[in-house]
Amino acid sequence: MKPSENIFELIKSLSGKEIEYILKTSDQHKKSGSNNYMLLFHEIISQAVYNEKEIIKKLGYENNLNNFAFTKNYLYHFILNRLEEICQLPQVVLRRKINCANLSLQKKYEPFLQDVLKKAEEDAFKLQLFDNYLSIAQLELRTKKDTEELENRIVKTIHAKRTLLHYRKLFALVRLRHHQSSFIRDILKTSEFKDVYEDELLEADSNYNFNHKIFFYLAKGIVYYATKDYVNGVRIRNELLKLWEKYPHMIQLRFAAYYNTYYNQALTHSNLGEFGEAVKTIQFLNKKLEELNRGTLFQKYMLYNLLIDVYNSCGYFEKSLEVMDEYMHFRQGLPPSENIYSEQQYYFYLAKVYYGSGNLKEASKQLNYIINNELEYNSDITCMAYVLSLIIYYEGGKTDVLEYRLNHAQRQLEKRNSMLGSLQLLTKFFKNYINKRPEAAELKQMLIKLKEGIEGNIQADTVQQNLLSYFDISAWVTSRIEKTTLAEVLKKQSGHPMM
Amino acid sequence: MNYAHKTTALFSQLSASEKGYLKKFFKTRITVLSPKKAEQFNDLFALVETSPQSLPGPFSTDIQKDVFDLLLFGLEEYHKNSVTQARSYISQVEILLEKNLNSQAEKLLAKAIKMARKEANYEMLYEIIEWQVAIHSLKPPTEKNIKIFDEYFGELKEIVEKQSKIAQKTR
Repeated sequence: MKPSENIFELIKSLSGKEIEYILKTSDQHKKSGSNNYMLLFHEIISQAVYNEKEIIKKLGYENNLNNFAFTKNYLYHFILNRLEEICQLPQVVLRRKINCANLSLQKKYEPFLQDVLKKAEEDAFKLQLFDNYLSIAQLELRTKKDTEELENRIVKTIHAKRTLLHYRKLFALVRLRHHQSSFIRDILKTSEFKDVYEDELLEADSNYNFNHKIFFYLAKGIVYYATKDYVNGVRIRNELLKLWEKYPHMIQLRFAAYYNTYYNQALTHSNLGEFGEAVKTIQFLNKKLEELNRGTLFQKYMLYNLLIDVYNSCGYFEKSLEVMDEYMHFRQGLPPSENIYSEQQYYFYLAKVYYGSGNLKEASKQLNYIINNELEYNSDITCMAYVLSLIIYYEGGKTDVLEYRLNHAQRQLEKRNSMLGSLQLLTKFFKNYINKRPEAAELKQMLIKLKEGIEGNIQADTVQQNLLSYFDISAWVTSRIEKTTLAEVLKKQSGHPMM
Repeated sequence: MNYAHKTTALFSQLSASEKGYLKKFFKTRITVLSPKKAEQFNDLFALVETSPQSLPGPFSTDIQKDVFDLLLFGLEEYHKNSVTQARSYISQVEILLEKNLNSQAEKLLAKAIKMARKEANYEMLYEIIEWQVAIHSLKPPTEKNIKIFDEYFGELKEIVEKQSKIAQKTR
């Protein structure tokens, strides 16, 4: 059985400050020399790849594996305890206060027990953390004589919890299933959406419904985005922005929601072709991540993912190349295959950057990661990976490979029900090209015909529009007609937004 | 009562072993402070032990409060019980999630939920299941995952009802 690498992953995730704190506070249980668990810490931190056998040998645990397992487990929890001590996340700080209040009550640490309780209660109430509030209220009930007001607040808190549950479920459901188009198509008709009571959201007592609003607006925002209803999407987003303005102290607590508000804003700008605005929003959010010292690796990665997509969409492949190091760095830090969708996107976006900047060989390599490893979450991306690989063979003059790969690609597209009008025309074009090997003038005519066909096809077909949003085939054909680069066509099409 | 006096009052209530633990705790924790701040912490703590009547002395309210909080946190660590331990696990889950170590967070949640169930601590149970939902909604929407998701929300609903009944009884 492979040994658990949890401790290795945890140690490798530590920041410089966290390591410093762990090292400095590790002397508490030291009698002489260094603690066994700290010896283990130093060994693990020095490894690039976890090799438990080597550590066991080096630290002399070969004949005492149980002791090694104990030390490993002890170190793991020791690190987590230290991280908890220095963590400044609002709810972690509050839980620490509740634990202190718990202790003060248990040990009868008068006269400051009331102080500790009062402060914890104030924080929980202000942050609308209902369960933390109820935990504190339970403690308060044991110390107060006049409990009427407190009891009223408990009832109100439980009522708020009950009504929040609906919005919490709605949001979680939408988040879980928003990639399923059939689900999204019908979601507005589902009971989860029908059962939204606007009066709950408009409740005058705003001390209890911040979370209701956040979860509802986020859920609706995702649905409007998925159904491309940008007008309503913008309306909902503005409601969210108003909430953050009104409750700035909630930003740290509900940081993921805050991040999503701005991430979705950038995404919508990008989808509306407002690429300059999209980049500005991404930069704003990036700055906020730094200022607030927040953001998981995945959130940081996704922000670069979006930035690269925006640059690619308006033809600024050179700008994508500029941020490629950060993009790859964040990707490499993520656990492999934790999120197949983002992994699939990653290779596809890289392929587009390399293709757009003229590195066909590297672009092909990235596409092969998707095709050969059957890295599929979103079949549209897989289909467009096949299409882009055909384009690369065509441009690279590898007609024999193109001929061979064309049949395979066609089968793959058909298998995924994606052999839609515009892609049929494209494969037909490649077939004609292989058979005729046309002269320049004839080729131009073929390309013009192809362009007209594609544009006619996608005009009123949202399914094809979605598919081709991953790679703008029409722009590519234009670049072939005008004998220029795809980058130039896309920049012109989008009005040179980065100038 | 200022914080220096509160610290003194707290310290005077402690047993010898609690005091011994706190001294070590205090000594290691102040190593991460700036030299000036560490010295102030040390001086104040020394007075709490040796001549509490001279307090608050020259120490600012912030320093007094920080020393008080530090001692209280130290005591809290010394006296961990299953409720406070489960609460700590929830905080550690939040930290692990910030580090994208989702599967480790799930394991810790499993430990915390056992403790919360044993204690019938509904507030904590609710919080734990909410974190399970947060992790779960990042998974692929398979039939099995959707079923688990419904189970989570079913339990959350039950918990609210139980809390409501308890609150009614208390009134």
